[in-house]
Amino acid sequence: MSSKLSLRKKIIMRTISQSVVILFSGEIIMRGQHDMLTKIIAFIPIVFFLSILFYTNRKDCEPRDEMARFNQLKAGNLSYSITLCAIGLVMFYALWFKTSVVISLLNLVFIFVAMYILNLAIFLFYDIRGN
Amino acid sequence: MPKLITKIKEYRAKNNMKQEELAQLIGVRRETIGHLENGKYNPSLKMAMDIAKVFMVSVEELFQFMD
Repeated sequence: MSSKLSLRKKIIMRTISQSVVILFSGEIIMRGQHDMLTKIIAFIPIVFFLSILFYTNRKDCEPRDEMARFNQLKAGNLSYSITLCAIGLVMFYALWFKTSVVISLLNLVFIFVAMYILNLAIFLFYDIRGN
Repeated sequence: MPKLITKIKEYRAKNNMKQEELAQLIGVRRETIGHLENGKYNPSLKMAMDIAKVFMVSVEELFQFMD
């Protein structure tokens, strides 16, 4: 009898695979090169992502019960608030020092992935600690 | 605020049932049952009724408020 895949493990695997894809894509776009090697490298995260997606979908998983849904909602709310605060802080900094804030595409990718990982960490915190 | 206490652990022991088995019967994760038993999660009405149905008792018997 094959064991069931834990919901936490499934969420962690998916988040990490998606983060890797986003990071690699950002890095490749930043390079701006369109040679053969870049195209081949671009396939690596996609294959990685698809294989994890295939594995997590094929393997029997625990039900996504109401506590998990509730925790995901709470984690989403907190991540959203943290992101809003961070944006507010950057805007305040820009206004206070009368300077413009330039964020590169790669930095934007890093910020997005960081938000994604933060959301996962908050979810795991709520899910392990309880409400 | 009154705290919700539960007798799930007691009834589970009486029925010689594991957390995993109860979780499967009501379609939730084992972690949820663990958190319920430790008073770290307040269940929805549906989940409370599902658990009560498994043990064939009333919801009031299974869940009580303590001041």
